[in-house]
Amino acid sequence: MSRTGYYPGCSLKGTAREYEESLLAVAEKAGRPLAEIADWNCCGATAAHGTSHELAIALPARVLAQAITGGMEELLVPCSGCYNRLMVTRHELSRDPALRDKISKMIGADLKTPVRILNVLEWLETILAPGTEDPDHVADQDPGQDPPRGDIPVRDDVPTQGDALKPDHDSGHSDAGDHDPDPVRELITHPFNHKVACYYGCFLTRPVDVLKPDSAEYPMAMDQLMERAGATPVDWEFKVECCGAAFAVSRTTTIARLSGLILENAVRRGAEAIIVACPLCHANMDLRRDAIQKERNREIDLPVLYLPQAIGLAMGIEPRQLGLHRHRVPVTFSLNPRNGAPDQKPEPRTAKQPA
Amino acid sequence: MKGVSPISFMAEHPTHSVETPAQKIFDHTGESLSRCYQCGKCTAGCPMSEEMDITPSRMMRMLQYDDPAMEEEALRSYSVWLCLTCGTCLARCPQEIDIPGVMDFLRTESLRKGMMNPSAKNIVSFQKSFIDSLRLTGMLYEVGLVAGYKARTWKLFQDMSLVPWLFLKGKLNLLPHRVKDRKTVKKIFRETVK
Repeated sequence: MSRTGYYPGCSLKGTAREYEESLLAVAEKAGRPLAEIADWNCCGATAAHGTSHELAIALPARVLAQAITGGMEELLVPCSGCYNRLMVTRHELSRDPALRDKISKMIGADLKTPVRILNVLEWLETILAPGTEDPDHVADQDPGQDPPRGDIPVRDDVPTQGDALKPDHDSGHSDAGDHDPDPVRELITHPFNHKVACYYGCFLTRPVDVLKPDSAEYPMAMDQLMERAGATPVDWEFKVECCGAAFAVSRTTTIARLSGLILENAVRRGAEAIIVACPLCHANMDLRRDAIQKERNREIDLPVLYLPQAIGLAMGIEPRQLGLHRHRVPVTFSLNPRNGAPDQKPEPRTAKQPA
Repeated sequence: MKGVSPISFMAEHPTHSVETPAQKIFDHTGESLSRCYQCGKCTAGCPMSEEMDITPSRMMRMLQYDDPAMEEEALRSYSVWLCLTCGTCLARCPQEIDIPGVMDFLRTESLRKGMMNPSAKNIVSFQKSFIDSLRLTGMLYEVGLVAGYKARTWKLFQDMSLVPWLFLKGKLNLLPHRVKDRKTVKKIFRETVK
């Protein structure tokens, strides 16, 4: 197996600490240890490409160089913002050899060795749906076509919310599965029996020709992962809308408007949680919830979970180990025993109008 | 797909004595704005268009005129700073014009020429504080970033109520982490940022 490097980025060491905690917990439980690359730097985020194009290429290029130096063949970049910058950088370096030579000289490192960059969806696919991931990342797919629903075969023996309620439901843990090692059967011991809105935002999907998501306007990769974890993804309209991204500090009113619209749509579609893969989206929808409620003039108690937190719960990892206590909006999900009925089915969430 | 650019044709057959805005944009970003036919999909999909003074499609039109006055209006606009570079416009543009890339170029030009819109002070201050933090440590140092931002904007009390909470939740690192290879970080900034 190729050696997987891990670039946490700044947020995962600070405000998105629970993203790293849950990711590492999932990696450990799945027996897929991650090697953090040495002495990494910030990817530069939005501020760098608003300042200087070459700065915005040089900073992620140094991160790539650190992965190459460390002998990594692939690099997991869980933060969508960092993933985006690294992918764009690699794309620009490969199509502009003069720029690559210049940056290579600037940072004093080789940039020619290829490194496969994985986002958190692709990495989780290697765990929960091995063999189905496409190394070329559906490169030849027309992004305009219909969402490829059911790309990853969803096992019907994983109890969904409805199944688990059936009194004679066969857990199938020990008998039928012995001759058919299925990662889902082995790893998903506590199916996450909840309706979820899978939120991709900007940085996992755009620019489309560089990132090549399974669909530009209605991606399904995260929905399929959550389905594998036992959840029921809802059909909703704000999957790839922008949350307000980098205006978290400088323009809170914009965050409140854009993130508020996303949360309201998820609530209206019956979601019990929003699942995200980006520290900025999380901060805007969770940390900024007071501002959102004020702006939208309604109470919204929908929790925002990082994808590995939800998957981690489904893998039977304790909520505290997944950092669920670090959220601004309380998360009340707990471990759901596979054979039992879902614990404390929360009240259907509604966007309450103030009295 | 992009075909022969009328702008590159223009470049070989100059009719202006000075470099025109569209030409400058083409030279720096490779984007030929003359391909824009004003369908308006960028403006329709833009999450920020309702807050902008010049919508993305109108901005493209203004830059097509090759008029220095229009260029200055664009550089002085609030819109160049309000663009979140979310990429929705590019994803939907039938002519595949990299509008976020053009906006990035306009931002750097606006900064270089000292033409940033006064309303964008907070956004520019945040960006500068972020870059300062990077220059200093090679990483995002959140406390330093917020301190720098507050010093620039005098928004001393904004979000102060969140600070104890963040600290209690273990989400705030009071001391910065630093990249050990200081030399390379310094070199990157020296060679890319004036």
